[in-house]
Amino acid sequence: MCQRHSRFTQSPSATMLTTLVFTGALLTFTCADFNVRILDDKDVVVSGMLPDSLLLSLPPCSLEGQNADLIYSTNTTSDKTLRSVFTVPTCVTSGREEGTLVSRKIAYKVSNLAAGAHYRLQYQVGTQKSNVVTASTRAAKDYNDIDTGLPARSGAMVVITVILSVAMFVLMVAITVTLVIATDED
Amino acid sequence: MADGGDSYFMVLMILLNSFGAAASLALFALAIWVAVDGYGLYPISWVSGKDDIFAGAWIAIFTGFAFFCATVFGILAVVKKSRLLVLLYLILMFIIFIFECASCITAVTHRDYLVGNSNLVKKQMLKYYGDNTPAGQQITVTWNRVMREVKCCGADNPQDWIQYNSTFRMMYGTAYPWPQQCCKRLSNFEVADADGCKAGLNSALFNKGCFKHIESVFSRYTWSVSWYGFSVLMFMVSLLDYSIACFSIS
Repeated sequence: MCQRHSRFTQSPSATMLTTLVFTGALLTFTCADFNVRILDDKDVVVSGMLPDSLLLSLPPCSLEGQNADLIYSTNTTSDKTLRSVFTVPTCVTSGREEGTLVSRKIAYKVSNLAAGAHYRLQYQVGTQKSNVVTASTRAAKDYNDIDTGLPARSGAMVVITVILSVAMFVLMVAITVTLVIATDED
Repeated sequence: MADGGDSYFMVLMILLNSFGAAASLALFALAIWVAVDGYGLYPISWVSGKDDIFAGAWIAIFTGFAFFCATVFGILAVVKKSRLLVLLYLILMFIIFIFECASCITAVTHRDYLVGNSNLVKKQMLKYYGDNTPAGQQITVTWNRVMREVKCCGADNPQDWIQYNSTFRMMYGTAYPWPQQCCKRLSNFEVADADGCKAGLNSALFNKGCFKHIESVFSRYTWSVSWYGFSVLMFMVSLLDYSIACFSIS
């Protein structure tokens, strides 16, 4: 039976703290009955980290039919559990079919999160637990910070401006000389 | 102008002016094509204040037709063998030349501002898409059409909508991370997979950015006005140089 990574209620010495945290992390990792992760753009989604939600991959379909609980915490809150957030779907071959559209569930969307906050997420399915996934939601940048100054002068701009300026100058000189000659002759 | 031996120069002048008339008429037609803006992207340049690609096109409409008239006038001046008329022709051509130079230079400079990189277009999209101001409505309609027709989302990719805050998010909340126009649609125009699109499934929304298309359209307009205008001007430079030489010699 694996012990959950527990929060400290008193302040042990630094050495003991380091040892316990390290052991706790090891225990957490080695205690995982199955692994999950945040989806990324190598999967079939644009991004698994949105400003207000996270896309967490599902437990393996060997646990199909069982209710999954979600245990989550932040840096400032203790572990909370959401009971029976979804039922672990069956394996791929039993996708829902509607006409030519075959769909299958690929992730659980953890919603209503704060932007730019860190979360620790873990599934519990029956007596089995996943690894603890640490992820943060996206902190959206301000669009006013995008620099819209002239990026660079392209070759076209330089060539056209230089050559036309020179041509204009040459023509101006030539026409002035012609006018002077014509006026003198008259 | 002297007779006899000058007939060779006269014929050449007439031929060159005829070619110049044809080229400037083509410039006139091309500039009308740019000003009409068949791709409908004018609001993007108008809202940014960098709309001199179209101002350059309007100038080129004027200069194209003016060059045509001036070259025809030049042919008449040569046929009439009048020095005064040829002198007038040279001055007119030079004035039109200056205007056309302004058109070429301003069009290519503003193109660099607008689409040198995707920053300006991206910021404008984030700021104005979904806004109720006149500028916002224009940008929204334009982007909706572009996303639908070109099958794209965002400036560089859909992640633009989640990497930055936007007026769209402020107005419509986080129910949809990106506009519905980013979602793939069936042939009856219904969204193919609304939940998948909301979640960001690559198969349910358009993954490529729209900037490439916007950049290619503005570049096409700019090359029409500035590079073709430049080539017409280079021809006119040689024509005017030749005319000045003939005028001075005779």
